[in-house]
Amino acid sequence: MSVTNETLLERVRNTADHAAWGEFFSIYEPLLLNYVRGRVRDRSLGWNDHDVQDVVQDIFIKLYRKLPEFQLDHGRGRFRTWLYRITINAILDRVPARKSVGEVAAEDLAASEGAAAPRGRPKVHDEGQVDLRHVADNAGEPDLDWANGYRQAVLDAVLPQIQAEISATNPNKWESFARHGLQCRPAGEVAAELGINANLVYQNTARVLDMVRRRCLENYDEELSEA
Amino acid sequence: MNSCPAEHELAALAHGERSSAEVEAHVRGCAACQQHLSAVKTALTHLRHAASRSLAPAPAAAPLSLSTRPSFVGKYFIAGTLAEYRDRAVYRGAHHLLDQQVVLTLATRTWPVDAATRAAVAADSRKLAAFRHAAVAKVFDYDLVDDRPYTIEEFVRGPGLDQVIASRKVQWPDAVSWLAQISGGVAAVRAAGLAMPLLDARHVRLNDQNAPQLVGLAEAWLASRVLPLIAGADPAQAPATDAENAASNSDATQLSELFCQLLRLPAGTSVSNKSTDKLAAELQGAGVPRRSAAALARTMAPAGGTSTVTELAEQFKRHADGHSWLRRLFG
Repeated sequence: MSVTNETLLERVRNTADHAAWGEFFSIYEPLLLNYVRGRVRDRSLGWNDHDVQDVVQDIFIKLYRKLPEFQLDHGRGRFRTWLYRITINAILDRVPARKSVGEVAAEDLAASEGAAAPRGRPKVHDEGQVDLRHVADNAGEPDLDWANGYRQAVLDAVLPQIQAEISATNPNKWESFARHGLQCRPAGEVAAELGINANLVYQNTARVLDMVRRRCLENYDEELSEA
Repeated sequence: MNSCPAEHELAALAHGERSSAEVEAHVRGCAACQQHLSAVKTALTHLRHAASRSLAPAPAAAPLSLSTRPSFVGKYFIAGTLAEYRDRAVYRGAHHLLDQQVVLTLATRTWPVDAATRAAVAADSRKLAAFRHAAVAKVFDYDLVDDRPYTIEEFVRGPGLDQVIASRKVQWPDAVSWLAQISGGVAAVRAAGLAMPLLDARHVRLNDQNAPQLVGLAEAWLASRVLPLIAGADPAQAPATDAENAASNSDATQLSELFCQLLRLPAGTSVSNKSTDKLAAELQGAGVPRRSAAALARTMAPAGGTSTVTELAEQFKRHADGHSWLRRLFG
């Protein structure tokens, strides 16, 4: 995983940055596959895994075409919300091909997003606009499955990156965080094992936590402190 | 304590441990610190949940993963894998200058052959790229990337006939119309001397206009004309390509089988082994009018030999046109 001053979302705007796209796929493809599978299974759309993969490919092609114009601006909207809307619309776009088994389910899907579904080609909104303010009133925020899946996908990428970076220069710092912060072991016990004082265990934990939070927000637009 | 404590001073409280009396007293009376503490606890909860998965040791033998798929081949963006074989991978992709999505077939091995052979293959590929038929997906390009040959074909967006068969019952006028168009395309491919994909439901997709298109021409060409030339390939070990499979059965027989699948005729016996009368009866059972059923059966399962794909195309077209004419006449 490469770490530069430029965030991943900025790097993939350059379609010639093949390494960035490789990293982008490794983070977001598992999220999209899991989420689309869950959505279509819950609504009995009758799709198989081939259909699910088709939808995820649709999403990546849209991202490839739209990301060069994407401006990450927290005041205007979140990347994860934008990606969510592209995902929902990609699912709905495929429904006409499955009309015999899916039309009612699709209407249900669209309705659950806060929008009425016209017959034949239901759609939540036009995700072509990067500014999200205009859709905020038309559709709900991402559901809990999406929020949890997105956070998990980001942390799956960030935690190993930071573990590798810190362990290479200050192993005690990472171990303090891992044993105390992640494994919930008492700071005094961890301090004794590492031969440092308990206050340093607290400091190390807080510093690593801050690093993880900043990396999640700056590189992936994920706010870790949100419930 | 006047100012709020630093985050590391809240760490003990976030873990349910005791902090200094001064810090605890401050936090009890400070709404901002209570909110801060809550945010730290939430972040740690998410991290503990994620860490059990993200930091677990990787499995010894990982399955074929995303890392084996390139994100780009040449200037083509790769959005996903459509199929993988030992000697080639088939991807869905896009190019930033083209609206059209593409299917990219890439050889898994490099091809260190002489320039003359490459030139001969490139000349052959131009014939493929020049071929055009409404019922056959267009081939755009052939090239090499890092000494690995690849082809680019139009991506036909729409369901394959295998998906159509699985999801709904096809009416006979649609089936006969689709087969008329595909048979015409197959005859044109043969006339141009190009390699043929397997003529099954998976290789025919319905495009946005609900018209059938045969897909996989570029992949069949790469598999039958180029990959066998790649040094190091062992023909005895190589899996049979679609084109080789296709050669084992006549085009007309494969298309007749496809027509029967669309109409959900009883499976078990191949079309060529059925008597004309039996096939005609089955076609009638699927809703084909008696005269059309008899005529189609005579072409699909001729008593005295094998029909050509051209004959089959003409027969399908005649009955498709006839039905259209009757429908126009009688509404």
